[in-house]
Amino acid sequence: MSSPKSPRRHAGQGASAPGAPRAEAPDWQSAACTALRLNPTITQFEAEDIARRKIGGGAAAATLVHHPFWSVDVSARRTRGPRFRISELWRERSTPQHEAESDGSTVSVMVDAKSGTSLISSIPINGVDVPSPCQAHMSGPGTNTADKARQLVATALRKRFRLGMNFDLFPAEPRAVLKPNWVVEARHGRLAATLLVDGFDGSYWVMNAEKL
Amino acid sequence: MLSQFIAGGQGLEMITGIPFQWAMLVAIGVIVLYTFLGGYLAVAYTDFVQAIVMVIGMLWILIGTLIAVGGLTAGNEAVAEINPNLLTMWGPEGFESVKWGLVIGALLIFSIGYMGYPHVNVSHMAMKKPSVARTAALYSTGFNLLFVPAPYLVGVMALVLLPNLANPEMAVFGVAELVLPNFAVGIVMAAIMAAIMSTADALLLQTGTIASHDLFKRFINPSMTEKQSVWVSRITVLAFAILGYIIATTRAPGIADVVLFATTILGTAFVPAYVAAVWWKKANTAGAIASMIVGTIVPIVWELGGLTELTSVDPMASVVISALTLIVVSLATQKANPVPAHIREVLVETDKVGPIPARLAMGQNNVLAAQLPVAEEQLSAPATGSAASESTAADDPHARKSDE
Repeated sequence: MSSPKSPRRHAGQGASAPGAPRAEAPDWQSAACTALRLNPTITQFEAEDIARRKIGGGAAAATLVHHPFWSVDVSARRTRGPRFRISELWRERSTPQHEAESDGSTVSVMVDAKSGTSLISSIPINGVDVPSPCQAHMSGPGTNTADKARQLVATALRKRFRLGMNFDLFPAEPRAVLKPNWVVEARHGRLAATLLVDGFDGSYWVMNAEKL
Repeated sequence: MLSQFIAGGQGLEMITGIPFQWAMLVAIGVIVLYTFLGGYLAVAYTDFVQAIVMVIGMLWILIGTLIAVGGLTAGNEAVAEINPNLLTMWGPEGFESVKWGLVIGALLIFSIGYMGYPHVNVSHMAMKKPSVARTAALYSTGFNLLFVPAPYLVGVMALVLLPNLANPEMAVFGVAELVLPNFAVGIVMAAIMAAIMSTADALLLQTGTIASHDLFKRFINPSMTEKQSVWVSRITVLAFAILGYIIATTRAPGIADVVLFATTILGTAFVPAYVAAVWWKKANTAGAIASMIVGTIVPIVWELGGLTELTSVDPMASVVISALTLIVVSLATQKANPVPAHIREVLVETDKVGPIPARLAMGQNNVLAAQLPVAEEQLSAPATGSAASESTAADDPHARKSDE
């Protein structure tokens, strides 16, 4: 069971910072049953086009599906070492618009509610609140979601700055989100394939492929 | 495991000259030590390093051997001069003397028998996700293409290079000593020892895990702590190492005989259950257990009862009996022993994994493999705002088709 506990202040290397912001414990009983359904940036036509290009043409039909994630904003405060913008951690993948919108002090981490894997993300957290099956966000592996996000950012910072920096990390309240993906069924000649196309970056995973 | 211990002892004896009992004690001691201390992670890491050493070492021996016999063609001709039948798959006495039951048994052993190795299956189970299996299949095929032919060819060429070899099981060691410079012998011997150790440590650890998790925790003390579990596993590893040492020093059988017989029993006992677990939705617990019991007992009775000699049919052929047992018992006990719901769900998931053409397989995003939708979890909340156009498909299960 994934049970995101109340986010708490986590120290990286170095001393803790008195008076640092603390996230309040959320009411998970109710929060878990409402999720922010994110809007895909890849359209249905684009997803179908990606699948058609992969199988060399033919017909394609895309269906929008969503995968449950926790989104955790992690902010960092440097206590020793060079100045940095934590948003640099995902700069390679971010768009100019995202960078302009970012204040540079936080980074967004997505934690897969099913598998528990986490990734630093440049996904725009825009969408609408929708009712979501509670178990969709409560059936993953059982460690603390905020802690996972903090660990990922701490690892990324240490990888970047080695021992040259001390920092405090503050994971915010995890938020249930539904990440959009496209399931595209494509057929060309004697080849039929089902692809899962990422709703944000258009990358894909082949779910199934068969020769007819 | 016994065969690996004996091979390790014999190899070390040949390299160092110390008596077999002491050599085997050292070999077992080293294997037990790092298995005991490190657990599966140590076994996984050492297996990886050992695999690299094995490939390099065996290829080195092969190259040295081919140079010594004057190349592949010259070696082939030299073997033919000894006995042309040695170059066929029918054995030294030729086609007329072929015992088809034994040939089919050997084919079964070396084709599907491997699938019954518990340490190999545990390695498969340790994979994080199906995408790892796809990559691993490519790596293992490459490894086997490089590694597996080498000892076979060296063994055949040993007939030419070492015509008076007393113990055929020492052919690779003997050829290595003959064809390689002294400094290289130690390195390639390490490769052979690596092959022995990587199998022995995995089997030892497997035994310990079965004892602690499948037997002790399940039937004796379900509330045991992780620490207790680790100690049960360690004591089992030690006990089996000591038992193996005693058997090997008192009544050491031939390595090849032990390997073949062990592979036969593992194959007949486990292969039908493993295959059915993946491919047959009606295979249940009762059928699998019955198949494993029959698959263990029949080849032992077959071999010890002298039926192999009498019928010229290898005991591996009894895999047919264990497979039929699984089918009959599973079908007969469907109502009393239904397949659990979570197993059925896994089988549905497995159905999604199909052969992927190369042009599709290239450039996939592995992260998405963990986001495969499950039917009942596909969410269809109404779309609003900017996502309206994209969400049409979610609202309408019959998504539009666009043709080119």
